[in-house]
Amino acid sequence: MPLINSQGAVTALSPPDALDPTQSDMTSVGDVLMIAFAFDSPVDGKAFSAAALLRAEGYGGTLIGVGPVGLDRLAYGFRAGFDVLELTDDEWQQLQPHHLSPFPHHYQPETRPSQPLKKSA
Amino acid sequence: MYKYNPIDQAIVDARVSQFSEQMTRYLAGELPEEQFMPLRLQNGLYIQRHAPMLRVAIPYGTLAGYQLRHLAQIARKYDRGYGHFTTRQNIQFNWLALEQVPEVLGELATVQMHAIQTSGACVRNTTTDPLAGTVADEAIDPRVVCELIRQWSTFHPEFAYLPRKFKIAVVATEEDRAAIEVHDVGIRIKKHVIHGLAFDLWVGGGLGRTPLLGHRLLADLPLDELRNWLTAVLRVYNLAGRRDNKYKARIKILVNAMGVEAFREAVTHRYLTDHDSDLKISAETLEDLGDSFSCKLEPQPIEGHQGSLDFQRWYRQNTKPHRIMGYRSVFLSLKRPGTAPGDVTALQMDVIADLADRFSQSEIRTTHDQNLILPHVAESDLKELLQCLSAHDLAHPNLGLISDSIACPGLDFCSLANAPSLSLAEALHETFDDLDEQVDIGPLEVKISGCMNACGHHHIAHIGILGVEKKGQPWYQITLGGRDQQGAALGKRLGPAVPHDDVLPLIKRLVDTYLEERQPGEYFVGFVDRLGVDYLKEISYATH
Repeated sequence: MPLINSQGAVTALSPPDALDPTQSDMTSVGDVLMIAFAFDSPVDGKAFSAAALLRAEGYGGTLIGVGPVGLDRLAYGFRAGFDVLELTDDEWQQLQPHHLSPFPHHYQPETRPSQPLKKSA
Repeated sequence: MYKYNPIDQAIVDARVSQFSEQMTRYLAGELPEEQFMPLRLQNGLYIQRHAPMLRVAIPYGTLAGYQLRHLAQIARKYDRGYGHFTTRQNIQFNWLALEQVPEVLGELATVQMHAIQTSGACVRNTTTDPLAGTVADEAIDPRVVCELIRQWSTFHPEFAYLPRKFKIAVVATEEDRAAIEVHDVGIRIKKHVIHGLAFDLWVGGGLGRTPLLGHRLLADLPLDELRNWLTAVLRVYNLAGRRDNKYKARIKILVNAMGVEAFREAVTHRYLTDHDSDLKISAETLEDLGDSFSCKLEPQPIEGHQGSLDFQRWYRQNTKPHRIMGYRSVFLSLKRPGTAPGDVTALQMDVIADLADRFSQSEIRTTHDQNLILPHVAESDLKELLQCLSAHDLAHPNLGLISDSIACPGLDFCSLANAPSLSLAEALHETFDDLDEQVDIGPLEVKISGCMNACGHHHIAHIGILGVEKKGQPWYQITLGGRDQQGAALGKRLGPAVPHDDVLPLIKRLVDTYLEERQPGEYFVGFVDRLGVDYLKEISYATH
């Protein structure tokens, strides 16, 4: 999955596999404007933690999720910190407001960037 | 006990609406089976051998009388008039119609119940000591912590699609009545000189195909940081756990692959890096939740127990001391001859609910041994209670004895099973039909699983029975010496598998040998430890 940095260059990193849970990751993606994470299957949820981890560390760029996210996981994705998630054409036709926010309350704190991304001059 | 606040109720109501819509899409062909499966599993809905099965959550094994009464109504209206209590303190209905499940969930929500996260690759119902709140040496009522974990883990945006299921158990006493060492995460809460309340964190235990005891990863952590530490553990697991092979996907495999030291380092790194002050547990929260679980009982004079022999036997075997003078916790054995372990009829549910209202502060507990408890019964009420229980086949005095075996549903119901389990549980009753003999044998745990997934927890039984398939026929492997409390151990395989009809004769030979050769005061499991499996193998297979 390509990563685009502020100069429009594509890095060789391929998160979430590249995210080592034993290491801090902001050093490698700190100035990247946009990161896309792939969901390998309808039951693959690794990217939820990858996104949340970046948000927890203050990443303020755009996070995109591609692959079989599914209508019923949109809310998890946005709450985990994604900005954009992929849908199929059929899912787009079926999309209802409650898919974006099925619950009126959440038990967990919100996962949002703690600081805005600093764009390169 | 804990009562839903408006937020809890709104979330459960919204879940009913959400699942109803998902079911509508599935039945209309708009949602493929591969996408519907994780959604239904996260709502406890399985497609089993005969019919859909719904697993209903009983958080930390605590039920109110009105809730059990409503479960009885559901059993009558939607099932075949009974329910099945499981080894994880939940209840299952085995004969529901798929299209009626949303309606059942709607009914459950009216009594603050649900099926949320009772299956699937997510954080499951947190289990605990079934005697929580009744024993004198607790650091805190562990259900307080379980409720905090319930809230934190419910629809957690990161942890709803983990590599595999994730089970947490919590205790707050020295004695481990929740088997924390065979859970993905085990938590032991204790009083602490500096932190007030602290916990030890066990990680990487589990049964199934690769049975392993957990590692005590960290100790003496302040309790108010529990949710941050759990987040760190889950985050490492979700990022590094395997997804390519479901049999290698549990956290126990990851911990072993990384090594305990490296796993500890990774979790500590995540804790320090990602710490969220919003996850800190305030003293006020602990106090408020503690109040919601506390049961105000006035000490009572202790009664004499000069009743009949039946009463004395039942009192000795099926009741336990209570922290408040003049009270006992009463166990209702769900292991009676002629009944599958854990099964309760709708009528019995109604009776138990009524008795809970009359005698036990409207409270019922479920145990991971598939029994029920009326936790707060005044000693002066015990004789009347026994009469009522006896009238409904709920006073079988075999708690902890050889016929108090647990068993998965096995081949009779489960689509994963290789062999029947329930028939062996029944055969135990037939082989050891004399209660006096059972008492003489003493504490002896038999646990039966119909396949390697080990839902019957056979690995941690004094005598474990595992169903396997050989050339299309059910055979059984026997293990000895397992246990789930302090000094937890996995059973050792006795020898080659035997056919169904040879299982009970083999167990009988083992037990007879124990009775002949035991030392004074030596329980069966100590006897196995002393003599060793090799010696017992020769005896067990001598005439086979």
